[in-house]
Amino acid sequence: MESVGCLACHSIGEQTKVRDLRGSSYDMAPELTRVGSKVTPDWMFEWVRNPRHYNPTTKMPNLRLTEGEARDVTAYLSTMKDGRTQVEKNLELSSPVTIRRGEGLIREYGCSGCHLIPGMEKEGRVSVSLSNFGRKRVEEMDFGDTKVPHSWHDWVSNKLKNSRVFQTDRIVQKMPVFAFNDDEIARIRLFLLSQTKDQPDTRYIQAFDLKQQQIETGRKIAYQYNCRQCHQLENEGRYISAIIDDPAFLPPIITGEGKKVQEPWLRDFLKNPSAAGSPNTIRPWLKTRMPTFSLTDAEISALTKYFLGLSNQELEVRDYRAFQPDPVLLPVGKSIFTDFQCIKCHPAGNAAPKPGEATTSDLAPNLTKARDRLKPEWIVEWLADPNKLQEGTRMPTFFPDGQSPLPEVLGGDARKQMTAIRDYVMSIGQPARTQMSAR
Amino acid sequence: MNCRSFALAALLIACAGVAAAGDVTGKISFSGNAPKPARIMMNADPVCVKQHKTPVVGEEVVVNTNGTLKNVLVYVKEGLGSRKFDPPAGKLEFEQKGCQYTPHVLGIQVGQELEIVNGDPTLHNVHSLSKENAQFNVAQPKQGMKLTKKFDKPEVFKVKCEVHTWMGAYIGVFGHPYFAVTSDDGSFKLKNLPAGDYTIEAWHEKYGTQTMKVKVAAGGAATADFKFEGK
Ligand SMILES: [Cu+2]
Repeated sequence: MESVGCLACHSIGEQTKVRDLRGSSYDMAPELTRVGSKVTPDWMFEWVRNPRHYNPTTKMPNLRLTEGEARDVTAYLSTMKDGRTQVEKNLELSSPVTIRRGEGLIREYGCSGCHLIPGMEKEGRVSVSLSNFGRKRVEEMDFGDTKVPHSWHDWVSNKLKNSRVFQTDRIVQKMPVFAFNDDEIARIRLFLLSQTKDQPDTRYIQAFDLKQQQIETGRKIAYQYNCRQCHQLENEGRYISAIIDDPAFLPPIITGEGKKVQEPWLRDFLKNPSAAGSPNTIRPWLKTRMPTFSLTDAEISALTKYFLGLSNQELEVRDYRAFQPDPVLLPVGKSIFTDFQCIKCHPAGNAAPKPGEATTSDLAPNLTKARDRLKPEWIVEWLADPNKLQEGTRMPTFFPDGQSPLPEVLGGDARKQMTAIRDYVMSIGQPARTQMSAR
Repeated sequence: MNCRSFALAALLIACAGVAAAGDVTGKISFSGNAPKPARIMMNADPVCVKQHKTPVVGEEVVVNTNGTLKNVLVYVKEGLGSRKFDPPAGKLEFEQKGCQYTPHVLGIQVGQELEIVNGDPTLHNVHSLSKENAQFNVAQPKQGMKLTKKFDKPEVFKVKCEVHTWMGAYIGVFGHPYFAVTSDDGSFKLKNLPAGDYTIEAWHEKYGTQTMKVKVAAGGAATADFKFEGK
């Protein structure tokens, strides 16, 4: 549970560090403290192995658990029970009167507003429209028996704090109690204030050109799949850091991904992230894994454009197989690579280190994959200042203040030396992709 | 303030009082159980192994033969007011030797130069985990390579090597020259403190910090003995 990353989204008991760092009053996924009392082990096993199999629209991604891992997770979750014993209740399940009363209550409370209930698909809206709510006058607001000051802001704040606050003997209120925190209330209130039928002044309307629209589409998908729970993206997120002690195990900052990785690699990776033994595996020894979100091609294309846009790159898929190392620089790059002892951290194989050799957090990405993954121009930028691109990275700079430690190589020209290293790195390993597949 | 510009005798005495300085001395005693020094396995890098004939142990807790604690950073925490101090001209040296840092704990003044040297024929990198000062992470792939750094803000931070995980050291940066690190006898001396009331703090990487208030009288000296205890 801890190693694959379940706790990034699910909280257990008092363990709410990720939620707290995120600053929200709720989690993205259900709390699991008593899940053993709710579902059967068989169901749980099937669910954790492939959530989409049971519910095609669930937000829970596939963690690619092996059968053994799934069994272990199920065994652990099955112990998460509360002490209450189920009291046998005398339920009159077949009484037509009870059934009718139940249906009435379900309609009255508008359960079908959120849940899909057979026979109630066409129920329509269960509560009032908010489309002009920002213009709602105080005289139209019912303050019940409360002493809440008569203003739009006070009514909304109190309603969001406790949705039943204005309830009286005569007027029943049915909006659920959401337990928003103050920050969330302020955000929702601001949103509601914006809900008017007024035409905003044109100065305040942002016109998106096609490129901006495409970036915006991808940005929405990134929010929808909650990338920020684990990754830092546009200076937000990485909430999982609340439960990961070693920064070396943190999921990467992906704001600059469009500048960093080749588009075909990104597509393959998003389709099938780090599948064991797949050519995409960069750190095969890591247990925490990027889940499989089963993204559609359209979603992947939108995300790709979003990342390219964030890095001010052309929104197009390029082919990198034509890259040719400079024949003069290549051997120089190889000798600098040896001089810098890059191999000390960047392994050449896929094996986890032997005990006593080094811990897994000491290993850097396998460079045999670089040629099919990294953009050539990015490698040079990375070598110049790794911390600028990936804050807190363990990769040191070999060129502090743009100065090379090897004055005798290539006339001491740091930029040329970085290019030479790049050319060598791009030549390590065999190309995995021989043909661009159609998209 | 120029004391000679005052004619009154009473003021002369007052001025002399400010100028008079005293030393704060003390020792860091240790009681209780210290953790058994952990053996450092350097197998990840044969170059490191080759440099040691005897087993190497960690320096997290070093108890001296006289029952005192080594590598404790002692410094004036409060009491200097808004006084400003120019950094000394000389460089301090911080070396990577035998795949360990020397010294293990180092104090330096704001603005003073620190020369970081690689004394080993292997790749090291110095990664500062500073919060107040800009972080740096510089590789030194060749023996004899040097790097000079200065720090702007007072703080104590860790430095580590990403190639050799066992390598770690601490650097304390201070806005004044009143700091010291205990060595093999566990004693320290903060020299020439102007007369006044001070809070002295002792910091240890495992056992945390302790503070003590001392009064340095005009021309006098003061003692600050600390006691750290192992669990
Ligand atoms: Cu090292």
